[in-house]
Amino acid sequence: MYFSRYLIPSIVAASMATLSAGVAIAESHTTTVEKTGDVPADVEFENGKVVFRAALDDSPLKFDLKPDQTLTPQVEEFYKTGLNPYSGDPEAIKAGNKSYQKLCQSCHLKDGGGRIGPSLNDNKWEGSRTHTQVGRFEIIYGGGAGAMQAFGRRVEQDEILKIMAFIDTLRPEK
Amino acid sequence: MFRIIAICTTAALMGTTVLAQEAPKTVDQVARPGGTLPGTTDIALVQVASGLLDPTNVTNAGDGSGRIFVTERAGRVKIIDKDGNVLEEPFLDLTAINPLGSDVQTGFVEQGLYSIAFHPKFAENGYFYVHYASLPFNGDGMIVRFTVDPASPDVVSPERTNETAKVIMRIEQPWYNHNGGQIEFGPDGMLYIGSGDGGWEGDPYEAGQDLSTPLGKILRIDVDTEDRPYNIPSDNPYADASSERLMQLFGITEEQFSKIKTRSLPEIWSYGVRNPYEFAFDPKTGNMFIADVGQNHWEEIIFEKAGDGGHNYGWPRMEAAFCQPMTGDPAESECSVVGTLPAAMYPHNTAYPGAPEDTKNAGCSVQGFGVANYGGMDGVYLAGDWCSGRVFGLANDGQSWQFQELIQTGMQFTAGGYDEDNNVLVVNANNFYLADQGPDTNPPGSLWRVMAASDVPDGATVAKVSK
Ligand code: HEC
Repeated sequence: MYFSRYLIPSIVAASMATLSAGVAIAESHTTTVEKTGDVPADVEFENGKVVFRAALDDSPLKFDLKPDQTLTPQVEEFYKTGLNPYSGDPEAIKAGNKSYQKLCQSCHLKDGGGRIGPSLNDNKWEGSRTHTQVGRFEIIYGGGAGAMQAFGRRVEQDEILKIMAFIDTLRPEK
Repeated sequence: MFRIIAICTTAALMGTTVLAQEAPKTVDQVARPGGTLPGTTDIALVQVASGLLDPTNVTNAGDGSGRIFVTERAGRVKIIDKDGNVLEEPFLDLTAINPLGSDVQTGFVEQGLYSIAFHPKFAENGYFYVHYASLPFNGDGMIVRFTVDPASPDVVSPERTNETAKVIMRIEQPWYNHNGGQIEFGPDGMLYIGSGDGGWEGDPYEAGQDLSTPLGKILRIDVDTEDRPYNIPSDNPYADASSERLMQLFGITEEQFSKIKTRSLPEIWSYGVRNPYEFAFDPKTGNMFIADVGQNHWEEIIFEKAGDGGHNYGWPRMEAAFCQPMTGDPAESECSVVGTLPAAMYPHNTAYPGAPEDTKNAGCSVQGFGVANYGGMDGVYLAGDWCSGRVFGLANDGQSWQFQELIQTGMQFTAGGYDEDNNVLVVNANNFYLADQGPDTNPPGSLWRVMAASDVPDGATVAKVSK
């Protein structure tokens, strides 16, 4: 379980918003850093940051969906660790639940049982990367196939992390 | 032509029952994903225009202008000119013709302006037809003709719209979903109308099998009349079935009795469809493909030979090739097929109640595009899925129907159509049930052209596809 209490003030990092891991990849060597803890081995890091990829075709994920987005310290933290700082945080889970019921349940059902979108409450992930927090963030932020839209267009990245914290509670084995 | 002769000869030689270019006769002849299309299967979607607001359909005027017309759900029609520019001022704006507000109901995501069709002689008479959910009529489907002012070919002003409006048909809609949508002129010059079962789920009206309602049908009318809204084509299957007559009991054959249907509507062309939001005619053969949206488990594509009306496509007795309602694994239950089977079908994530989840080859709502006869494709009906972003192709290889997934994209397709050169066009929108922010505020959609991957020009924007 990963709890964080942030003392650093909120940073609105406009430059971070255009972070494009893929450009960096093209220019330098990518190394897969083995990390201890909860980060699965297949999460890539580059210059101390997670390399995010589009769920559909593995192309670099562009963080340009919302022109004026606010990056909370939790989001910055997530960029660095690939771990959701809100995991297990009851407040965040509550907020995430609320957003989930508004934005996601039409396709994934209230309890995550799945209908138009795949089940989120079994122990199986359909995507090649969605078994990791990074992969889940990628598909929720940047969209997947068909009806799985890029929610980065509609909500802040911080809210996505909270929704992810909620989704984790749907599974029998977290 | 040669191909068709060849096919017939083969079939005759083999004495086989599987005649090419016919609806399947048995459930195992209904194609499922995993088939192999003849010809090109490597396709790409090339962007033609973007910034379209909840685009719902696309067509051309057939007047040589090269213009493409896209319907936007709110009630506008946008023109994309030959060079791919979206003209700023709408061709038609149904949100501006009624002083009390929009004339279009968009309260539910399935409602809005559905489609536009140009009269085969549009270049001469300026007639075009739209089908939309009417706000004043509480969501009823309105099919209305308007006439373009030759002095203003790209913009039909609100005044002109009102002055020239001729209401062709109003289809009462009991519920806000399953409204059908597509209207299109067939190669026979008749206007075909895709009419949904009226909505809710499970067809509470039993509309699909009820010949006294226009719901759950493909309708066919002759709009070439000025004195009334339309005429009934004399070769419609029920054109005379309900006409008044004296009762005769004796000397009438079983078959003759069966043709008396005192409550049937003469507009009906075929019946037993659930939500034929999209259908298309093959520009080469005139054959018709209907993308009939399924309920909880299977999507289907119906093949209908040109001019072959009167079929019962089964709904709500059947969902695709299975008895409806499904209560378990169809392999373990008895089912006698009602009506004509679809040419192809594909499952949802759960193929029957209680089935294990399987997202491979799956989808949730079929949206038909059109038939491709170019780029190495020969009579391939293309259709996309609203949920899984997959594009499927359906064609007959001379022996049987083949259904194959061609690409998987990140888009929610709404419909397709043709440009003047019969290239297949596709529109995608970004609206979905629960988070519908309204037709003018959802993230915009785009217009695409289906091409053989080898024909994609340099520098074109191509839709991303799954690895
Ligand atoms: C309109 C339907 C729809 C909505 C709404 C929707 N999804 Fe999805 N979701 C899908 C589909 C379809 C897929 C499969 C996408 C793919 O295969 O790439 C999917 C896939 C996913 C996956 C990957 C599942 C796996 O097994 O790999 C996650 C996680 C997910 N969605 C989360 C969400 C969240 C969180 C929301 C709300 C913010 C949401 N979805 C809203 C349709 C939807």
